[in-house]
Amino acid sequence: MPTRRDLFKQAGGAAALAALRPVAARAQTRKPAVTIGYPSTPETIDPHQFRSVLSGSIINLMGEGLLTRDPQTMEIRPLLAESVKNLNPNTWELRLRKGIKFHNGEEFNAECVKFTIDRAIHSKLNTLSKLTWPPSFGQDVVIVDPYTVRIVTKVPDPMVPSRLAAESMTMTPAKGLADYKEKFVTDRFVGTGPFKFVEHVVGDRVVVEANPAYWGPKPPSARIVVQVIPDAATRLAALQRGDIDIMLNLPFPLAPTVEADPNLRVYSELSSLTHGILFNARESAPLKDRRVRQALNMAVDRAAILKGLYSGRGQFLNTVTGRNVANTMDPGPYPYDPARAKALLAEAGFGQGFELTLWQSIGRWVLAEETAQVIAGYWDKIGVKTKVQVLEWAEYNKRAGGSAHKDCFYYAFINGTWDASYTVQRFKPNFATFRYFDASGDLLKTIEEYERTFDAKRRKELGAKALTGLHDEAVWLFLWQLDELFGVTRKVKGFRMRPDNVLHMRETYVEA
Amino acid sequence: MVFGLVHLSGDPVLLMVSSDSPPDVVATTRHALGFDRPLHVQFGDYVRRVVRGDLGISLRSNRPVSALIWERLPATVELTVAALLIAVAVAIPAGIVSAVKRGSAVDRIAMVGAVAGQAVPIFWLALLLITLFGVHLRWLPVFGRGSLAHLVLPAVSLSTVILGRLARLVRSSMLEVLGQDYVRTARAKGVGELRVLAGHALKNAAIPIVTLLGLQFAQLLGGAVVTETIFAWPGIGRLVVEAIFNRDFPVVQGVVLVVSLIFVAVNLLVDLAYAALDPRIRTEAA
Repeated sequence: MPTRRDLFKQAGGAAALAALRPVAARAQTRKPAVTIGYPSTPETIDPHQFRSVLSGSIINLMGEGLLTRDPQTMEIRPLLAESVKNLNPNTWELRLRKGIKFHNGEEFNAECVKFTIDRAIHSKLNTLSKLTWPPSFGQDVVIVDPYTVRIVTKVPDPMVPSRLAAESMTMTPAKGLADYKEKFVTDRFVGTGPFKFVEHVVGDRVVVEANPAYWGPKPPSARIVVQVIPDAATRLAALQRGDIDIMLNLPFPLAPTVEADPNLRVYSELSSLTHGILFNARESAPLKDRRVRQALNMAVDRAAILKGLYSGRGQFLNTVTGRNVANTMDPGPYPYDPARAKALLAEAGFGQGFELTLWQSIGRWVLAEETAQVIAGYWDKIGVKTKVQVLEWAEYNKRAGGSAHKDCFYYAFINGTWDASYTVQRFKPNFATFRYFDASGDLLKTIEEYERTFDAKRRKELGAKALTGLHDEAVWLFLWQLDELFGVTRKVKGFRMRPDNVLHMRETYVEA
Repeated sequence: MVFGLVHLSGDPVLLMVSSDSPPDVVATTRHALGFDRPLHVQFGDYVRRVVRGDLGISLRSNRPVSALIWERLPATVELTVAALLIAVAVAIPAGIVSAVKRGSAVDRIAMVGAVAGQAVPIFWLALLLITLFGVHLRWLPVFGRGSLAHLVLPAVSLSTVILGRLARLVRSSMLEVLGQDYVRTARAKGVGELRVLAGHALKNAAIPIVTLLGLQFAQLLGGAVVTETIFAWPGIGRLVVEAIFNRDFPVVQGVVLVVSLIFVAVNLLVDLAYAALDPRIRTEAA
């Protein structure tokens, strides 16, 4: 028969266990790893070579730049640099954070900044950084002291902070990657980020693990696995089984399947890709006339296409830049008015209509081929006989960039600097690629002044004026930005896509 | 020929640089990779390196092509062998039974199944298997390579590519052999039916079957693309298709070369198998 002492002991033991249970439970409230299903293989883990936003998102876990963007507001914030100051139109001074080490133990300092910019921009390597910050700006890094650098440009460049905040300007160790100044690195990643490189099995997966020596807030997940599953249906099946926690590129038709599953949810954000049909106003006779281009805008019922093909998941674009981009504005839509469109064609001398070729690439953008067919139908109705021609992507893109597409073609642009100037600059007559409309007169002066202006308020005014001008010129058939859909288990927390499509995964974890 | 064809497909540099890249960046990249040299010079350089065992560097991942191939070839071999074993285990008994019970309901069902198996698109079947066994029943994983369980669904899907054809070939070969005098003699001598079929008939029907298996093995090695894509199986089929879309010439050339060598080796093994199966071939050779 248990004594009173025995009973007290048992009660005490039970109470102790009850007290410990929440602690033990808290320790086990998160899964050790987050697994993300990617639709395609990251092409590289080199910090400066990558091309896709998906690869950039992985690099963002392991590497850091001097500046970064807030994942919600996209405001530029200091990261490895404590401060950035514009001394004069050609000089920016950055003070670096002290006490930061790379994953290989090397100290981050001014030498690393110089090495990084030399590698990313001035080496022979074909880097994405050269696109974000062309060598023609003549960037030179002057080391003032171990924790202060000045970046001097030959051409005044108000966009320097935007360029330094790009993922393609990840800082790299001067000693650790000294052998890789003129060659790409494929088997390691040495950064300062909250995650360290574990492995990259090409075509299969990338694995990173938490960096215990990270200088900033510790990440909530011990490990992140990026698993390549090319087929969308298989990716969804893996999500339903719980083999992955997050599924990228959820096709629109599969969204209801995810929504119907009580363990899953659809997470969506507006993609930064701006879709439009570019008019070759330089070479195609009818398209030289603004009234014709405006007519082609008014002839298309965008709402019907967005609803019918994309389940309404997107927002209309009314100029050449999307929402949220710095210095953007919305000048308002062209109305869907086929009668007015025909009247404009008649005014322009094309009352009998004309023939047009609409170029489209195979399989590059979701449902874009179908969209082109529908748009051709709308244009046919106002007398513009439209032939849709498809082309394989590499040749299509070569012609697009080489300003070689006749008549008009479908394209979707990213914004590499998150500023309206990224797209607006394409309309200058001396721009090297995608020259289909040459701005002139007041519009050209506005664009040129916008590029040179440092004052934030004046930049906003000039950006608005340039975008309104491009809208009035109807340089494109302005289409939309579409929602980017993800399938996510309900236990995933802290996952988001930035407005520029970069995935913010540093704070992601899965509840156990 | 492959060298010429891949270069005909277009300029790989255009896929490596952004469409916004100025012409000097494109030219510098093309020069760095040697694509501005005449084709015959590039080909000569390639052949010299291949002879030394150097298959080049992937334009996309910057990793040695040989490393990429050796990483992924075992996965494709594993999948192909498993698919062949499944096909053999199902098709040969089915073909034998169909031949023995010619004209019966069993024969008709087996042959309809064989034709259906050949007609069913592999991607449809794969997705059906994933939905049933992976999602609803949760018996088997749906992607990747790891345990034996990972192999089941992709191997079963891939086996249907040859299963139907093999079953029909076994049936027709057996029918031909079962009509021969020596089979009638063996039965007349009281030899058991199983021994007649396995010891006499199948052995003599084996040559076309072995030929088909050899050809299919080599074909599957290079072409299990759909299966590898749907099941995210890390094999060379996916590798080469991605390389073609990205104009990663060294990878395409390397994979075609390796698969060709395997094809030649397999054909040699098939020829040697003939000698093992048919004493008449051994005698003639001697």
